[in-house]
Amino acid sequence: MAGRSLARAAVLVLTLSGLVSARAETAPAAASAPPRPYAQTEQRAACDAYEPLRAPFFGDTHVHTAYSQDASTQGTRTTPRDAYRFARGHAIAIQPWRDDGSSLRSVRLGRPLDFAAITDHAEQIGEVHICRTPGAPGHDALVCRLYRGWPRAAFFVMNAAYSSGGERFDFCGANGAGCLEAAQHVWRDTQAAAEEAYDRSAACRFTSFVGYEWTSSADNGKNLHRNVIFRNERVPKLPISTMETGPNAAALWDQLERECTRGTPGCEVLTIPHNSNLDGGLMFASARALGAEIDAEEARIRARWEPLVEVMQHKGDSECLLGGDTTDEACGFEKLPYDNFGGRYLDSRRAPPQRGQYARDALERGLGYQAALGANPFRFGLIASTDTHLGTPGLASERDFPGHGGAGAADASELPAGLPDALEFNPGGLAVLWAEENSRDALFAAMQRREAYGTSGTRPVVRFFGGFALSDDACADPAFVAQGYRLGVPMGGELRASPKSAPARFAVLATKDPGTRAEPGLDLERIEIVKGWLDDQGETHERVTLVAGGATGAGVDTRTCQPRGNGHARLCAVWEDPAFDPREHAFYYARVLENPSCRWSQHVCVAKHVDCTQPDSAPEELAGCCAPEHQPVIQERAWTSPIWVSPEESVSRAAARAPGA
Amino acid sequence: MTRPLLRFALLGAALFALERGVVDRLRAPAAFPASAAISDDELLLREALARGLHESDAVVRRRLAMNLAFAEGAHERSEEELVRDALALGMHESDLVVQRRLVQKMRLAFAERGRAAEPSEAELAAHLAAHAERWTEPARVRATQLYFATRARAEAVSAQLPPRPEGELALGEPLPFAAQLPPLAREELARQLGATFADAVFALEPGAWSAPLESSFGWHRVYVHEHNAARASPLAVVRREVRESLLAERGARAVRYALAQLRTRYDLAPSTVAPQ
Repeated sequence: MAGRSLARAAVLVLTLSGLVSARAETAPAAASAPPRPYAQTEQRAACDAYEPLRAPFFGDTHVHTAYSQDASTQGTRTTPRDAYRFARGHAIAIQPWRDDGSSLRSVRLGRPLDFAAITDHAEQIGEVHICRTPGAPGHDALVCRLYRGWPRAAFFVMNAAYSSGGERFDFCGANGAGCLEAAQHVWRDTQAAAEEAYDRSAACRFTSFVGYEWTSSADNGKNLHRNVIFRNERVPKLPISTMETGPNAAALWDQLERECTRGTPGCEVLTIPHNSNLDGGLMFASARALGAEIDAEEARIRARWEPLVEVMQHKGDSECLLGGDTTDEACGFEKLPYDNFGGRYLDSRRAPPQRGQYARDALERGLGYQAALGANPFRFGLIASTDTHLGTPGLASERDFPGHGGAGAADASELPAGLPDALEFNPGGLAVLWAEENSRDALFAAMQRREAYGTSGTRPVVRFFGGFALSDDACADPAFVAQGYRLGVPMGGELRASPKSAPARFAVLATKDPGTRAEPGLDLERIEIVKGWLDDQGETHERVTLVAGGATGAGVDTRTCQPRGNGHARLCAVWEDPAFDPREHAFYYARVLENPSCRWSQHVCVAKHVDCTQPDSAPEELAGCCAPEHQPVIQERAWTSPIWVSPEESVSRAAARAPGA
Repeated sequence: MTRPLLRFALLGAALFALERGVVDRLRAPAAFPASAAISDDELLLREALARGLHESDAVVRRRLAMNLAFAEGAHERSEEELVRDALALGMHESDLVVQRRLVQKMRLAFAERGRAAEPSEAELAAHLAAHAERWTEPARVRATQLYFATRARAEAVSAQLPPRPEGELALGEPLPFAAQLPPLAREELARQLGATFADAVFALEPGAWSAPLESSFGWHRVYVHEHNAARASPLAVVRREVRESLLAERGARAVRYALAQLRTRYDLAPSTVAPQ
């Protein structure tokens, strides 16, 4: 209820401030900063550019640098400072390196990011620091010598030793004190880098977030990783890792509660799970203990801690899985062929992915919990990020992809002769937040209220509103956005349906990625609305409805990667759910698809003149170009956070029957 | 078979380099060229060796240990032992990477002398004023745009356009972002609406509605409220960069001073600073 009141208050403030700001001749916000509809928790100048109806900010909340063991053992030397410089538009050098310390490659973003969080693995940051710091106690330990002499082997050895939590290496000393002390050094530097990159002036050019990755694997390689993102500079003294918490996320939240929310004045934090596609079925299950049932308390706690899920990144897409009940062809996008980390390396661990690992299925099951428990553990919005291990936030273009620099690749001394990454990986995506200004408080509030969407790396701009009174001609209304806030809720919001509610309507408006002069953006192909609902038998269902655009015959010439045909520069639709039932629990999210384009791997294959009709033309290192599993063409896309529609408690039909799972 | 041979060859090469004296001239004071012929890097290397940095620097030690471990093909010796033996063999004098590291380390040490004092506000302001061209706020335009899917619709609205956009304008078709744009630099406007459109808007005179302008999404009527010319950035906005620049300048000055001192010293008594 508190959430609803807050949401109403926010909408009211928005509406009022929107009316004020619509005066076109008023001066920009600098002269007298308007009241903010979110808590201001830090000392900083008010941004000159303040948009009451919110603007889209593009960023990356999943970035590894040399402080991560798996990045440094693969030749990454980028520090958090370098990574933030890169995010702001500067060129940086990346691996491979020559003996004299110069690099063979450098990269630069075509368009700087608005925000980024450096999220190095909390596990082993102290150990890595010791192994890299001569003279540090433990520097000559066997593990550290392996780290320096044979980093690729160290990647596996160190990960294996820490994958199940428990004991630290002996060289860490009693109770791991030596490694924890070293970790503190790295953590302070991470915070300092974030502070230096954060623009606290009224120009608001860039926002950094202090963060890290909690890297839990359960049951022998099933991924439960979360990125931990702090609202401001007030953070715990050390990142809380799986060495302290064990594999279950609930222990992480408990400890964050103790050390941040209650233990450090002004500290606020949220956690963002990623790669449920590698979770072996565990991510969207109880976070208290393996095999436990989610109860009402956990459902409430989880929804508070995890307002967002990273639905796509370099290790694949986690939206939905084609097959079974799902006939949604667009689910066949950037899928990994295995369901856990071990499947990449061992045939014995390779199992096909299951539907329950994917965000859409979790959103559907969440409706069952909502009906049964009165709380939905899976009320999460959607973002995407890169998970770069090169320290290159936002480097998500399919063109000139240098590889992501992680997942056990060798620390090379030469440029890759063939594909720069494993065929199943990809450059990753971007996180987009709708916020009033580019400040930590404004962006963090956007994350908390899930007014966010993810893209597969391009920059379409998408608005999505739901309401019972949205006008059917909203697409002709110049005040589309103001109407959306006035008469409905934005992406991430919740509607409560009474028996007399009119059918829910959804207004969605998207513009194509304008691109750059060097890399023009592609037209949009379509907008779809994905609905999931719970019927009166407690069964979940889903339906994908085309609401704008459609197949235009546009495509891409895979011999040249030149696009052909046109699509839509802008698409808009108001869609009323014809099957709306105010007694059902449901969610709706929008998916925006661009025209087809070449995948990163096909760009490489074309540049290397591989012709798969002439099998001999592909050298061994480019055999992936003609492999049956290679998909040369993709459709870049955006996924909005859902809008949930819940019946008022008294009219829910499914409440009594929902299985709760 | 190949690897031991290769290691042997490398070890041999290292010893050969030692004997032939890649850096023999550094060892023998008499062989020092006149200071004018010595590069800055050579001076810094001499100073680093004289100070024993090759024995204490962590990166150099790691490099030496790796070199010797590779040459010996053995991993079981501690870094301490490997470094000791590598130094005894003089491997630090034959390794280009070690030499570059020592030069860099020495340069940084001298630069640090210049960076030690925290600049005052007045010094930062003076540095900004002296280098105003480095910190400029780009030219920005503040505009209101009305969007239309077609050129015909953008033209048809002409009669309804108010002399200047005041209040809410119920004209045009919606975009996901506001009609009234905040002050934007050309690149920022291009990011939002396309580069060609940004160029066109920056060419508009303020105070009048434009003819239809094409963007990545369709057509627009644009009213430019004002152009803000590029200007020097205020110190509050660029304090960090200005501070870093000033410190870098002081560091570079300290390095130049130290090099001049070294030259003088080597000229007077080169033998006193020769490495052991």
